[in-house]
Amino acid sequence: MTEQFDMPREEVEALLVFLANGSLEGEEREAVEAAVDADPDLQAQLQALKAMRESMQKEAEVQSPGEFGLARLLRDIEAETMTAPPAANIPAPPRFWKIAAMVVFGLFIAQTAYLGLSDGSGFELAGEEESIGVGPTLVVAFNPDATEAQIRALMLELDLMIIDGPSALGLYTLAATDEAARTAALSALKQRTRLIESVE
Amino acid sequence: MTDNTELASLMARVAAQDRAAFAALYKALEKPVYRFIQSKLNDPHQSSDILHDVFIDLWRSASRFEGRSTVKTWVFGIAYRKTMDHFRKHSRTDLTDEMEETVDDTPDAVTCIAAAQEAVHLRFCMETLKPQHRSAVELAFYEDMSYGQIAETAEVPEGTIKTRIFHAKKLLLRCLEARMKEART
Repeated sequence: MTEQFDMPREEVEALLVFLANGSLEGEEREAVEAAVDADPDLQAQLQALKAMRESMQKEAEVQSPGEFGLARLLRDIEAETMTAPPAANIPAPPRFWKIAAMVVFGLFIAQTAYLGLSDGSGFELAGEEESIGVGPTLVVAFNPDATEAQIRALMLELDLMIIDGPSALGLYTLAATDEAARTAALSALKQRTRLIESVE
Repeated sequence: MTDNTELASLMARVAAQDRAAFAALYKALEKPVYRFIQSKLNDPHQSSDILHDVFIDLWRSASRFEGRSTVKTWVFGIAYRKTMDHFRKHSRTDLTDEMEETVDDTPDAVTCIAAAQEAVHLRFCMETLKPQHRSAVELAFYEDMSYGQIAETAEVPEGTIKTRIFHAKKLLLRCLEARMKEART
């Protein structure tokens, strides 16, 4: 009997909408129904809300994108899959795979050079990493738009080799043949702003 | 519309990059989601673009769906955020949660019943509401969502939805009453 008084009038009025759409359940539904039963104005409001809902649901069907929209989506998804790494949900630094391939290639060349040197050349290199003949290094960040071909051409032009990277920040370590080459490369890379974001 | 168990199973397959499941999910939800967007933007091209973005997001983030809400609520949530972002970017309206001036006079609900049956009056009055208020009413009446589901969709507390609905309902009834009186004169 007293249920309608347990719920403030404002809340009853708000919940009328959900009584009209049939989503109100349990004690709330009982309380609102009791309030409606006792109040002709709430009854009229409920009737008006039901009429609103009916009008909205009766409205002509919208002309949605339908099959065309689906075709566009599938095309975009396909294009995305072609350009993304296999595990699309795993974030990776940009151009990881192509650069990683270059690192492997660089290490292969370095190792070949080392084997060539150690094969009867008469001198041995001390240490571990230095033993592969890696000279002074530079750390660079490539522009996201730089292509593998552009990077490869730049490495060849400046006689540099990618020996490590990308780091978590997307940085690569490049090795020069000697200190003079490193200084020249540093200066040249600073000029290549279209390919290089930062170099040090 | 397909029930939530079916939709959730489709979502799990979409998370595994299953295109057929993605197409089935699109077919199940495309129309109501589009209607929801279009009812606010009233621009079929922009609405189509936003719908496209919603489903691209769904494809990319399906693996993050944990089933804590229904699939429908989750997808409508993406659509809601994108539509509101669109409003913000285009400064089409004030999006603060401030309520409209309090309506002191109680509308005559009986007069409103006839007006509510007229789609043209109803559409006109819906247009007068703020986007967040209109969304709440649309989700309640087009999609028959509960206030809890609408709160999940809009990512606001349930109390906020009740308040929005309370004000929106009053403004709608008052507007319909005025339209009816105008029509009679």
